[in-house]
Amino acid sequence: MSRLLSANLRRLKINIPFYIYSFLIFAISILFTSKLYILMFGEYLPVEDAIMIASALPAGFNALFIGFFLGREYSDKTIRNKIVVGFTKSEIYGASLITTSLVTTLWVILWFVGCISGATIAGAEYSMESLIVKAFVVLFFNLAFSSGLTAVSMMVHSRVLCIVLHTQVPPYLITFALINGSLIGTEGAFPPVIKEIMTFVVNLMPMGQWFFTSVDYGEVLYPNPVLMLLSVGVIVLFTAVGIRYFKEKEIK
Amino acid sequence: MLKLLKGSFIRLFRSSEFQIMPFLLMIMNFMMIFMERANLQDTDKLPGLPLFNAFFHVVVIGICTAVFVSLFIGAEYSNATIFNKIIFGHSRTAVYLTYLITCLFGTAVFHLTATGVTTLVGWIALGKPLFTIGEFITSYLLSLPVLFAVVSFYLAITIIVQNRAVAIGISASFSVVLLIFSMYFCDGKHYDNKYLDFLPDFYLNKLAMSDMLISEGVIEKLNFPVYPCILFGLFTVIGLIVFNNINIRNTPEGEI
Amino acid sequence: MEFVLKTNNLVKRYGGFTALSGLNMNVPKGAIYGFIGKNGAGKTTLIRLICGLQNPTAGSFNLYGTENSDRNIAKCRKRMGAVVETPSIYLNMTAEENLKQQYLVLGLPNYDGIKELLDLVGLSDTGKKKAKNFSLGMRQRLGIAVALAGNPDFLVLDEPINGLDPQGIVEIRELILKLNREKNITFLISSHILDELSRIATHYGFIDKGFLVKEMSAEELDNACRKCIRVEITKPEALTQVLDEMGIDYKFVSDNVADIYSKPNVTQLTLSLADKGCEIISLKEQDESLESFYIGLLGGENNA
Repeated sequence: MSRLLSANLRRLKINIPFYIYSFLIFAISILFTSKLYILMFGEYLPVEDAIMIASALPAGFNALFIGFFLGREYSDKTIRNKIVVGFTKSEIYGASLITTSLVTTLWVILWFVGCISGATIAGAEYSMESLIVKAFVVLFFNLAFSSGLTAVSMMVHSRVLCIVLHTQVPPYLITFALINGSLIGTEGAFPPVIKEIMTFVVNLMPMGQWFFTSVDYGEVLYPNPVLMLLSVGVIVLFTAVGIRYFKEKEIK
Repeated sequence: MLKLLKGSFIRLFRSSEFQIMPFLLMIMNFMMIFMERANLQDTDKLPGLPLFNAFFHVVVIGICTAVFVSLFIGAEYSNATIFNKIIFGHSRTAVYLTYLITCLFGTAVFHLTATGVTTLVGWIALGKPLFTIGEFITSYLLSLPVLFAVVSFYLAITIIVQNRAVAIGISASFSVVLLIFSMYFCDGKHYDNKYLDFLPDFYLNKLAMSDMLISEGVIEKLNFPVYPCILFGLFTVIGLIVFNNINIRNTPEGEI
Repeated sequence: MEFVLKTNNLVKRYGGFTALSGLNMNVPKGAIYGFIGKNGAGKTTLIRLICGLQNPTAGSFNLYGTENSDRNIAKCRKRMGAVVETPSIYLNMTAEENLKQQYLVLGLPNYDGIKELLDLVGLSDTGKKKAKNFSLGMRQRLGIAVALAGNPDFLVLDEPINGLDPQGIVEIRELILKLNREKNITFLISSHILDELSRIATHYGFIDKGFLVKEMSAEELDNACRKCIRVEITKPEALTQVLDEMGIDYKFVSDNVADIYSKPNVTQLTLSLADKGCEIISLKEQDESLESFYIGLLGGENNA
């Protein structure tokens, strides 16, 4: 698998969109937390909330990037080269997952550094300890999201369909999280059992975690360590499902 | 051109993207209706269906239109079927206008389908609509120029890029950025600012979110969409000029 | 005889459609095995199965003595290279970058040999040109170069000369023969261009409707495509009498035309026929080509 990984990393190294997206994440993070969030939301919004709003940037760019990067293996049919020379499908999937996870981690670091820089430039006050803890939550839910995108890309075998799913599905999931989150906070909207289930679902979803760490809905969100654990669970689930279907799917 | 249109419409009705789009839009509306219903304290006394519930899907119609146009027209490049039309002797203007008319029709139909079905479902879930048929038709008709501007924009992108996957990527990215900008301005304070109508999603979001944010009626706040009409004309002209001059190539899925 | 590949009643079904129905095939080590069949006969399906892209519905195959269900089959595949249908190359990379990518996948310690490989397939002067700007023939050659990257000893080529110009066809043919002769690489080549295949193949497999109709060596095929003399005469009964008297094997292909499967004394034949009042309208030497043999094998021109 190390060979597959080094091949993927080499491909990443010469991938121009990767550098463009990295630059954009960093630049937008700085701009947003130094100036833009005040223009958009007013000065009443704490900078820490603004930083959390911007934490969707890695996920947003991943939705495009992973579809193109992994989808190319199917559109160019180069995945065949790996299977013909004897790599198992698990190894191919593992290499793809590690590559996308490394990209996500890098982008989360760029987001964090960009936001701290922007907030410092603007002279805003923030708690570094609290932000570092939240940064780990952000890292985990971004990794969970990218593991889902990787699973879809490896199962779907069509670059076009990947990109369509990656761009069309997340807005619905965000709306779902928003609606359920607001209903959870409304007295009498859900029976108690359903309320607990919906709270769990909203906390399990990467979009749910993003939305409710950005907007202060104190009742909805679980404690940070639990959120990270749930994200790990999502990663394991997506990876298990993805590998299973990828192994069974026939390659043309 | 009639032959081209006929062929194009047959392909439209058979295409999966045209068949699935209304459902994707309706899901958004149904989620909103579900929220309204769950918030009801007394389910015996239904409040009625507000206009914005029937049109809430316009929040995502920009992304859906972007994907629909890129997929539908992009297939002509990935399958190289565009060659069949041009080699056979149809003018490029006729081919472009065929694409445009087909996409406009497709978008108008799935917008109407989503709105109509949502109204029926909302009637059952929330009670009698709080708007008249006239208001419904007016809102629908006023939203069309904006949709047409959006369609002409994404069609121009697809024609320039000539690659289905890349067209979807670029169009979807644009639509998300436009949506974010528009949602920022949709806070009630900017509704009278006609210049913001240049942002197509802003106009649509006025329609989608107005009942939640303003006290006056929706129709009074929906100025006639002059700027979307201008944008539609502009992007159509740009698209035509580019298409008449560009080198058309067959771009199977892998090529960028 | 040692076999690189042996299939045992291989079956592959896609839903209700049977692409391969009990295929039995044997590819000897060191052979250039020409795999011939119509469109939709099952050639590409077989290639996909042996390359590990898909699993058989039933039956098995044996690669270097290892069953396909064995865990160690992956190790055997490291000795293989393949070009399946279209070349598997990154269109946004140059020829050299594509080979570097494959070298990394194979875990080769350095990039030595890339220049030689590109020379071998005639792509040494492509420079920074990306594969998306290559012609079909150039992409085909790059696909072959990628397949050769790991120094395989078994190479599977699916329609390798598709899209090549005449010069390119000659170059690929010579490349295959060179690699087979010098490095003892076994080839499995599927092709429609029978004439081209007849110049290089040492063994043939004829497939039709998912079933291997016939498997034979080049020598056996030569014997089957017999040389003969085709003669057109005015009185077939006279010819029959004369040839029977001479003890010569013959076959009538139409009312007045017969193939004679040996070299009779032409003067004697002519005089004997003249005695019986029969004139010879035309007389020429004939080889049965691989094409006509193939058409005859698969049931006549209507099935071609």
